Amino acid sequence: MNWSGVSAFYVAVAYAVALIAMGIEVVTLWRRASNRRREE
Amino acid sequence: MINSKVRWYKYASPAAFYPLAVKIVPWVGAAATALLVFGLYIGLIEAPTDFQQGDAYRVIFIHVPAAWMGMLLYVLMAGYAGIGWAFNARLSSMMASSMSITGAMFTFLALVTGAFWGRPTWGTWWVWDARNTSTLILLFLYIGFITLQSVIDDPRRADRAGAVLALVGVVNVPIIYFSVKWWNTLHQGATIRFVKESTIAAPMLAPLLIMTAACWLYAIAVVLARVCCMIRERERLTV
Repeated sequence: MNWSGVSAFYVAVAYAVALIAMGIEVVTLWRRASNRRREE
Repeated sequence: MINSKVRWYKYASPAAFYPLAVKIVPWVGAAATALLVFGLYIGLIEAPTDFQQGDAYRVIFIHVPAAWMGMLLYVLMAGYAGIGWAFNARLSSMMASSMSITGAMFTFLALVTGAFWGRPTWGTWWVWDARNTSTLILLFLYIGFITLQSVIDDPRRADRAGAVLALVGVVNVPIIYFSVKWWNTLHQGATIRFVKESTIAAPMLAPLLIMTAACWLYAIAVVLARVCCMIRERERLTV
């Protein structure tokens, strides 16, 4: 494998956006569930 | 004989479904994480470099599963919303609401990762071709569904209004899928086919299928987890 700098940048940003979006969804859900348990 | 069968329809009740979903979520979430890590390793390190696109093509391992999930979740969302509307099934409507956020997230990812693939391969972030535009409309349909549900205070009325929008908008999904056949688009045609031989090489197909499975499991886990929250909020369960 011989990554060029340009390709590595585009691929890295695309995967970073994807993982951050999934992470935000999971953390938001986790907090929603935690808040609900605390209220109960 | 009938008594020995599992009565699946009992899980249509939110109270019966909740304990089952709570048990499933951690296992499916763990499997999704494991497959995601494995898929990223195979896709970013083990898969060979494409002779034309170089390493930029590796964006497909998240772009394609995200686009598939965006379309599939919309069809499922419309189905659940329709069942919830027709049979007054609360759990179906909750499933539809839960899927809308994950579906919107995957559609957004398909558009963003597509832009990061388009820039090095097409030379542009965006073109108004049929595939891109119809996928953008899908994102707007998801946003419309989420907004419509959030502005109506009564959940049952919100479910009915959302169901109408979801069912009308489902016509956009076949348009997205067949857009590359019906119109002359810059977006490439299908490389993975169910009836003919796929035109993608096996070492590239394997990580694509692994990442697709990971995205499926991720979607199942987060949709069920969100439904659990909604059941607690709507049904005031203290489980």
